Amino acid sequence: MSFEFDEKWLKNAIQIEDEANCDVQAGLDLGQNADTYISEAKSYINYEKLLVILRESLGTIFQTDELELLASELQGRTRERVIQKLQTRKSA
Amino acid sequence: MNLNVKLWHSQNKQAVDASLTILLDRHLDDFQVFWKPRLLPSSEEDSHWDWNTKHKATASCLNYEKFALECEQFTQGLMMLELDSHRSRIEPGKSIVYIDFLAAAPWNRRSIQDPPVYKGVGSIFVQFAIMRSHELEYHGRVGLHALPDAVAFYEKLGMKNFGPDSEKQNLPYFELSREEK
Repeated sequence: MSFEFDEKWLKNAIQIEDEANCDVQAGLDLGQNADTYISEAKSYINYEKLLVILRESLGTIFQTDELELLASELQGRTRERVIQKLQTRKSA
Repeated sequence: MNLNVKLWHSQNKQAVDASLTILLDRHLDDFQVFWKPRLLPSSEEDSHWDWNTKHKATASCLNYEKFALECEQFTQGLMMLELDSHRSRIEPGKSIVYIDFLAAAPWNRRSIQDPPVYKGVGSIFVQFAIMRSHELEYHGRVGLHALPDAVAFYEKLGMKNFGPDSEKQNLPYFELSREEK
C-alpha cells in the first residue's frame, strides 16, 4: 500500500481539519488537570460498582433505596476529602 | 529517516515543503525555546507537557518511536508512537500502532492563532502512523486517546469512538480499523 503526502492529499486532509474545526492532538497525560479530574468523584468511584459491593456485603441489612443513599453519601464524602487533600497539597 | 511532505501555509494559501524526521535534539530545543513559553501560560490541554521529559523517559525503550515535523527550519509538530504494546479493540488481540502523544506547535493551533500558520500537521502525523502500521503489518490499525478538544477531528477521520476510557483518565479512545483506511 502506498501513501501519498502530496498537495492533493493535503488539501483533502485540511478540508477534514477545517470541518472538524479543532486542533489535532492526542495523548494520555492530564498532568496538572488531573486534579480537576479526580476531584470529580464519579471519575474514579464508579457508583454502580460501589452499589454492587455494598449490596453484596450489606444487602441483608439494608434495602435497595437505603443502599443507594449510602453509596451516594459515601461518594460525596470521598469527593470532599479528595478536594480537601488537593487543596492542602496546593497550599503546602 | 526523512519523509518529504507538504504543509499548507494559511496566509499564502499554498502548499509548502516540509519533512517528517525522527526526533532530534534540535526539535527538543525548539520545544523548549519556542513552544513552551507560549504553551505554559495558555489553557491548552497539553500546556504542561514536557517533551524533553517524555523523550528521556522512553529513551531506552525500543518500542517507542518519536518524530518531528519540520518546515522552514522550525519544529511544527511532535509525535510519539508506541509499537506492539497495545492491542486492538476492533480486532481483539491484534497489534496496533498507538499514538502516545501528538501535538502541533502553538502557532499551528487555531485555538491559539486563527488561522494557524500551517495547517495539516495533525493529519500528516495520523497518516504517517497509519503508514507505520502497514509497514509493521498491523494492517493500518491505529489507536489513540484523544484530547477532548480534538474529538471532532478523529470522528471526521472515520475512527471508531469507544467513548471515555475510565482507565485512562476518561479520555475518549479512538481506533482505526483496517477497513476504514
